[in-house]
Formats: sequence, structure tokens, C-alpha cells
Amino acid sequence: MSRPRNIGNKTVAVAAVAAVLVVLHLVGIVPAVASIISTSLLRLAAPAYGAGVALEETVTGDAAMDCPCGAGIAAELDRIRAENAKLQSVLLENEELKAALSFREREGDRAVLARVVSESTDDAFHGLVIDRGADDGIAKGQPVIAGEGTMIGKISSVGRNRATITLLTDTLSKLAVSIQNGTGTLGVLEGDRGLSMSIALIPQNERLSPGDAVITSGVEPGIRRGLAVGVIEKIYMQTQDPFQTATVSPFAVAKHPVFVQVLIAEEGV
Amino acid sequence: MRRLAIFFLAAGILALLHASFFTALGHPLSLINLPLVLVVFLAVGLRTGPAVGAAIVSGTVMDAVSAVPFGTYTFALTAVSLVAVLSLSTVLTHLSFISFLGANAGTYLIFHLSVFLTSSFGRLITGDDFLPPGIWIAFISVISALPIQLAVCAAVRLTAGRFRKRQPGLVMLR
Repeated sequence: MSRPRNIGNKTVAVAAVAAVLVVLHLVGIVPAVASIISTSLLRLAAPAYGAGVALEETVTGDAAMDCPCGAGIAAELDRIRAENAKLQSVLLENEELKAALSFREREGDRAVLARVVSESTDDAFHGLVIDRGADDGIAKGQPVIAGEGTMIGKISSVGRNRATITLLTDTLSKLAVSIQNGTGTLGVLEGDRGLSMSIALIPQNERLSPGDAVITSGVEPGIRRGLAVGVIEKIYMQTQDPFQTATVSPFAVAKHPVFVQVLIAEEGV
Repeated sequence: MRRLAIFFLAAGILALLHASFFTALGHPLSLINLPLVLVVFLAVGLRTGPAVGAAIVSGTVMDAVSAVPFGTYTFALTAVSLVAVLSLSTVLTHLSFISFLGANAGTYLIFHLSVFLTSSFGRLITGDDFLPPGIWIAFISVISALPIQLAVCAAVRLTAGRFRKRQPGLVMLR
């Protein structure tokens, strides 16, 4: 007889907790608390991501440096590598902040500086999460800049205190660009499974060469002309085909940025 | 109660590392799922409450930091924790080292399948294709990361076996 009574008591308790939560949500306490928790988590995640980037760069740089030395020297080497990883992290952040400041001073745009907190691990989507959101004026479609003015993606979704960036290399990414080949050939840059970018349907009579810079064309609403995107790497054309295709290689700064800037002034342009 | 708090704190820290630090390391290290290892580890002790609780805590933290729609990881980890508890209490009942690895392999694949299905249905609702263009690369990535995930699980299991003598209250392995 006691078991049904226990189940009844538990049901009442759960219902009471749910009712209290609904009331607190309506009053606005739950969203405020959720926002504080979410902001705190993002603040903790940002340095962790930065440390991951620094470690990845240190390990990649040190991969060829393995030596067939004794245990003592190897341990010392490991300690130096660990110290180096910490210094790299600080150096990386310092360099990216300098570049961001330089971009801000040069361009005079209203840009929001944000820290990257996470990178998508899903191969079906290539994007980043940043610690700024709608509360800072960020909106969907705004261009995201890394370094001294390299566009790396667009804002694809926005929360109150966070936003998601779809990288230009993502398959779903499309961007109106211009090729600096003397005639300013226009095209649409498309991502390819996070691996590369390409511009298709370029008329055969347009003269392109590897190394030509690719910039935003300004045709797309919200994104002004002149933001660097990458350089042409290879050109594919066949004589019987009316169009040619160019693959575009992104700038090095687009790989694992720790700080980015969102150009909020571009909205509605 | 103190033990439960330690589990949940560990789940939160591992989830935060998984969603931020590990994502920067690139494939296959970015696909190592430490919160999942913890959840299966708790499920091996057949403690449904701590396993599901840790799944909810780590899922919520991962959802708050990652690019996926909110709830995707919480749902996937909670479902996986229940599958792990059920399979370890009904099918893989001898709770050996192999069954621990088997449970980890199964839950790892179910976790990724659940995340994929949730994202795909989300895409379908917004009018996009159910199957994203990079689906085969994603599939191969997950499969190729599985041995590394299992190596981490094996390392955790062996380390925990030694640690158990000192902290029998925390390590609930049989």
C-alpha cells in the first residue's frame, strides 16, 4: 500500500517543481539565470578553445622535432614544449588582438570583437561558435572577419549571448565575390565540404591566373565590397566548355581563429 | 550526495573540454567523447541515476557551447545513458572488459546517429535536404575515430581498476 502512496508523492513533488519553474520562467527569473549560466560557460570555454588551438599549433610545429635522445632529455623537452604551448597561447592571442585592433583603426567600421569558444566537429557542418550575440547587435547574415580584414564566414544563427558562424568553406556557404584580375570578374564563391572554396561558371573569356586575389563584390546585401577572402589556387577549363572554374585557397588566418570581428554596421546596407 | 556532486562536476568539466578544447585539435582527437566515457563508466556500475544525471549535465553544457541546436546533445547523451544501463543490465551482464568496450562502441555510434538524425530533421523543417552534402565524409570520420575512442575507454577502465582500491566509493566498477 505504501508504494502507490510513494509514487503519488513523487508525482506531486515533480508537478510542484514544474509549476514553480513555469512561474519563475513567466516572471523572468529562469531566463535571467539561464543567461548568467550560459555566459559563464562561454567565458570558461573561450580560453579552453584558445589553449586547444595553441596546443594544436605547437604539436603540428613540433611533429618533425622528435629526437632519439635519453629519457632525461626527452622529459626536459616535454617540459619545454608544455611551456612553449602556454607561451604560444599568449602570443597567438596577442597577435590576433593586434590584427583586430589594426583592422578596427584602419576601417573605422562598427565591429564587435568576439572570442571563438568552439568549432564544429561535425563534418556535415563547418562553423564556429562565438561568445557574442543579439545583445551586442549581432544579426544573421553579417560578415565575420579574422585578422586584419579577412572574411571567414557569415553569422548563421544568433542567441542572446552567442552566435554561430558558417565558414566560407562549408558546403552550404555562398558569397558574391570579385576577382582582382584587372577586369573585376564577378562570381559566386561556394564552399566545398570544409576543404576548399571554388568559383564556378566564370565565362571562358575572363583571364584568370593563380595568385589573383578574391574579395567581396559588394553585390550581396549586408556585405560591403573589398573584404579579402582568399587567392586563386587553380583554374580548371576545357576548350569545349563555355565556363571555367577556379579553386580559391583561404588565407592562413582563417584557420582556427581565436578572435574574430563581426561587422554589425553592414546590416541592411 | 557528495559523490553525486563530484560525478556531475566531472561531467560538466569534461563536457566543457569536449565542446571547446578538443574541437580545436582537429580530427580525430576532436571526436573523442570524454563525457560519453564517463556516462558509460557510471552505467557499468548500474547506477541509473548518476549515469542519466551526468548525461543531462554534460549534454546541457555541450549544447550551451556548441553549434548544434539546443537540446541535441542532451537528448543524445540521455538516450545513450539509458541504452547503456539497459544493455549492461540485460544483455552484457557479465560486465567484463570486453563488454565495457562493446558498450562504449555501441553507445558512441548511437550517440553520433542520434545527433545526425536530430540535425537532419532540423534541416528538413527549415526546408533543406535531409542528407547534408558531406554525409559520407562525416560517416567515415566517426568510424575512423572509433578505435581512438575505444583506446581512451580502455585506458580509463584500466586506470580506474587501479584507482578503485583507493577510492572504492567513487569508482563503481564491478
